[in-house]
Amino acid sequence: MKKVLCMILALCMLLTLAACGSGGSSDSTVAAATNGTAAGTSETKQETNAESKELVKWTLGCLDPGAWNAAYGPVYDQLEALADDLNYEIIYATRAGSSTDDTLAAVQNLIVSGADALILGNDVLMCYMQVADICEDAGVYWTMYWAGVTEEDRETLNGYKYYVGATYEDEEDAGYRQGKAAGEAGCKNLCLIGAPDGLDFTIRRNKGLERACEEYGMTILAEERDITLTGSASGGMDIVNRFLATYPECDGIIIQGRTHSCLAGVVNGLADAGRTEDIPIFAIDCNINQTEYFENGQEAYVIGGHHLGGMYGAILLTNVLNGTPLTDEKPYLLNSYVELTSYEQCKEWAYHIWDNDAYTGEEILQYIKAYNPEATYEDLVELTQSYSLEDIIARHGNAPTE
Amino acid sequence: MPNMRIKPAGSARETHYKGYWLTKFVDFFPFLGFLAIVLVFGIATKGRMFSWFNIKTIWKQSFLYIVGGLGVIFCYAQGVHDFSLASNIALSAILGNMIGGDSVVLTIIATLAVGAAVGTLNGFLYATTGLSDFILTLCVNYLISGSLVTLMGDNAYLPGCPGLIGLNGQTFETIVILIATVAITYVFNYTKYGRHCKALSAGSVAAVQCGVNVRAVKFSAFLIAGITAGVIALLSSIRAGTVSSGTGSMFHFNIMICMILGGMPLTGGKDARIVNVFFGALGCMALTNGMVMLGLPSRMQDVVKGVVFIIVAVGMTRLRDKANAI
Repeated sequence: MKKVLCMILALCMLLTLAACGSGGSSDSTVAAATNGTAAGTSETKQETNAESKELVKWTLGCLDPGAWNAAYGPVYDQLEALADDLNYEIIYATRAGSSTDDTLAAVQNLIVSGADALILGNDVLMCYMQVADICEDAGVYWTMYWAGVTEEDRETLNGYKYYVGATYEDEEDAGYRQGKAAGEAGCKNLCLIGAPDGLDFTIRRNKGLERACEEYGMTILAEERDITLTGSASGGMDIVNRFLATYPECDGIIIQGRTHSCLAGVVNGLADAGRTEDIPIFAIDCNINQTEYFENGQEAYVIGGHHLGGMYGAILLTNVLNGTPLTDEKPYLLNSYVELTSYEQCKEWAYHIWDNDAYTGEEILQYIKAYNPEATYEDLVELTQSYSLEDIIARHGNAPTE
Repeated sequence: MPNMRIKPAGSARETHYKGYWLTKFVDFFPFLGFLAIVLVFGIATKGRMFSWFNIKTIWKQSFLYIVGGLGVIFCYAQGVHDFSLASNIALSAILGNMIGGDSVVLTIIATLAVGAAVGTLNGFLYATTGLSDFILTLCVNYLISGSLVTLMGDNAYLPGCPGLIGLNGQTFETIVILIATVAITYVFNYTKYGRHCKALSAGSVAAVQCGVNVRAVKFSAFLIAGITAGVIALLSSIRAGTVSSGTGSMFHFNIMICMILGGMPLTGGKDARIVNVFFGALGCMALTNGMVMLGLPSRMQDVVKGVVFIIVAVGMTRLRDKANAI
């Protein structure tokens, strides 16, 4: 009996410990805006924080993106960097699995946990209408990023009071620019690695790539879109080995998706086969090792950096929650891509995006009406259009030389 | 000694045999575990956990796992597990949708038929070949998973049957739970078949000597699990509005976690009970829900879950062994 009692007490203690340990300002849920400010702005930052007290305090709910990677990581880094200035606290919910039911359950958990608004990524692409219903019932505002929403669904979503808007990417253009880079590099026989077919962004990227192939007389010899292979570096290596064994004439590899997970394997596969120099890699999405790959001539082109959708959502939501919406419409904002073609650019990218943030809280506060009454929706649109590596360097200066 | 109280002659005071309270505790463990989770998180969240909206949320999240758990309880009672459940759900959902199109009746029939077909395959192979349930269902799982991508072709997901999506709601879910609970409880607790499933956990030889038709019981448990996969596929498409190769992903593992938390013995037997499913699913969802409400970091949530499950699994096994030895 004593042992039984001990076990019950141990269980209760464990749960209480977990409960108490997380109360108040948990370091993971309360964002720290420390790493995104350029040197020399600490005074301004303090002033800004003082003024931001006027903004309504709110809780932002996000789905846990899992381990940091070059695709998702910067989205949340940027959101966390803005938390103090826009006066929100971020809470995360983990999904029990990758099914739609798990996604909906996580959304519900965020709502019951007191989220005032949600910023959701493409995890909800298969169920955004259900999310709209859940948020409408709960009276919780929400936005989506990386949201290739059909025209018809966009119209339906506009009828929801708590849907605030979404951001999207010009995927067709990204696909075209990637293909164009391959064409200009003299490639003729391409092998392709990508996300599963049928996804909105895949269809659009394909369309753009097809256009570039026609223009430059290129052929797609083979495609691999199986997520069990593209989802890991070892899978990436298997794919390359298969490509090279079947199509030795391959002279370029297009990675159209899952770059962050499979690129390392693709690079190593080419190196093992001694084909690094004659088969350049053209990728959509950044990869954490890209600086090294560009330096070693293992990667030729990247189009990515489209991680500001969450931030644009945060601007829209902060304005709505402060009672000063930037627009009465439900905007569908363009989230621009950035092209990287050299080692120097990748170095700058790593410094400005991975070590720091593209925008500081002070810069973003200018788009919050409660803080800056002059702020307009047009300013926000301009912000989305001005995003580029050159723009970041102009605002924050060059990366320090080693 | 039977589990009963002893009344000493000439004494008004009732006494119990040694270990009586231990066996009682094991009996009530699922409920006590659930109560502990709800109380701890209820207090920690200052009562926010008990808001009507949150209760509805926990119920909604537990719904699929309760229905799924009830369906696979015949396998669990035998101490066997269907690891092809998740891929069977996806296959049933996709094929059911493709075949049924906009027709509600056809979609329901096709989805259930596909689930049952996979269940039949599992059951037949398990009952006739003597392969281990783990190896067999894992192989079938790979077989199905591999075909899902090809089956979906150019589509990442398919829209669900509009007539079915309209059913989504609390009333529908309550009706489904009621029907499933009454039907499964009756078969599991009050029929020979239910008793035979539990008897099989002691081994085929012992079961044969008790007059159990081993092959038929083995086969039918997997058939029921297959039909359950079809039901979950339908319910999932009703809830999500779409079906894809990811439908039902990780479902078998999530069910297993719920069952463990609910005190279900993974080796099956007489201790397998319907309440294990309810308290397990509700407790599991309340645990996740409570941790998110407290703002516990996601990585920490996994750690806490892991620790709780280890404590429950190890603790329950040892306690049950002791109680059974009394």
